[in-house]
Amino acid sequence: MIFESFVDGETISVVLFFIGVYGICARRNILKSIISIGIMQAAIILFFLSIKADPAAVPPIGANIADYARVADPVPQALMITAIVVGISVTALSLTMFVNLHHKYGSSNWNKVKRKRRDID
Amino acid sequence: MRRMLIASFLGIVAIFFLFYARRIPPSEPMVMAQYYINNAFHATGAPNSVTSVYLFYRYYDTLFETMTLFFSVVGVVCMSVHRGAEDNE
Amino acid sequence: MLTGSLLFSVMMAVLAIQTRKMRNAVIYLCAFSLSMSLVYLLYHAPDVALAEAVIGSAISTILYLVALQKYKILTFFYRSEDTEVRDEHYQESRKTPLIKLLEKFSAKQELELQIIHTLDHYPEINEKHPNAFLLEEAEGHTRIYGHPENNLIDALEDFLIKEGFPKASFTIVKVEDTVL
Repeated sequence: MIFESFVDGETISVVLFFIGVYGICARRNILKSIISIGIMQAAIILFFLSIKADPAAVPPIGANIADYARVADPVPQALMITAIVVGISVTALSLTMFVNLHHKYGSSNWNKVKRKRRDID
Repeated sequence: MRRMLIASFLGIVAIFFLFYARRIPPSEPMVMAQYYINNAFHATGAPNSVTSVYLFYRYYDTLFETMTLFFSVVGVVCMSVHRGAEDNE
Repeated sequence: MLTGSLLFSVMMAVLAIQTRKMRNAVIYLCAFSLSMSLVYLLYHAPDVALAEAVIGSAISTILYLVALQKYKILTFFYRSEDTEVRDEHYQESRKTPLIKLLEKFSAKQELELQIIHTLDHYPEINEKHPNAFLLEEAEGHTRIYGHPENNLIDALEDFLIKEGFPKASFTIVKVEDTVL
């Protein structure tokens, strides 16, 4: 079935990335923008893990993995753990900035915050 | 209306990306990955080769990741403390 | 399995962006992260799946919820004379037309609606929660108590009249501190 062959990690990661871009462009809520950044980050991780994925491969764990013919690539996996931790740092920092901004300007809408900043300046 | 425009534009870009990515030819066999898989256990003694990449071959990466996490925690604490002080006034 | 969880994650991502209520968006994002972690596991990356399940799904949801709690919440206390006697009826959440209107109002004002059933009168509530409103329902008539310095009370009155809520069936009472 053509649909079944089309749904794999690479295509879904591109779709998820563009869902995130849509969320940043079309939504005016700051919290929605942060959620969209999280979705884009998960999409990029999925892309790096699923590119050149082999359904018959084994996870790269165990002392005797050199005996197996097909083993998943350990390098992107190690780097994606790094990416997840950096992503949670970005989320935490941007949420703190959002709470500060909401405290100061009393709105969670990009346009209203911009207007209030212009009025104050 | 504006959302529909953005959605249709992004849909076109995404479809272009999908069909372009499908046409990328398969690349060379994974030389680096094969090297790590063959040698990681003997070089580091860790049975998990992801661990050996994470903590041995790419340990600067892990170090700077930890620094990023540390600075983000510092940022969160600084901003939160500042906000609490405003509340107390 | 893999196809199902991939499609589920796409659905959850669309819901997380499209829904209007922030709390629902956070829960959808949590489900999205969880299904992504299952996808990573199916792509032969158990370490990344563990990290995503712990960090992406649990800690980041907690962070979002803490941020939402700091974010403004619109609190309505609800006191109904008719149901005061029957305790078990407090538990069921009834969607009267007024509560639906209040949900619409809070979505318009970018606030999260929170309705608390109570037995207290307005002075005690105002002491603890200065920005909260009290809805009092008795014999088909609704009284809405609020502090006059709360700038939402005029907006609420205008909204209720504009939405066609019958003018005769509600009164807005602005209670000063000095009256107490």
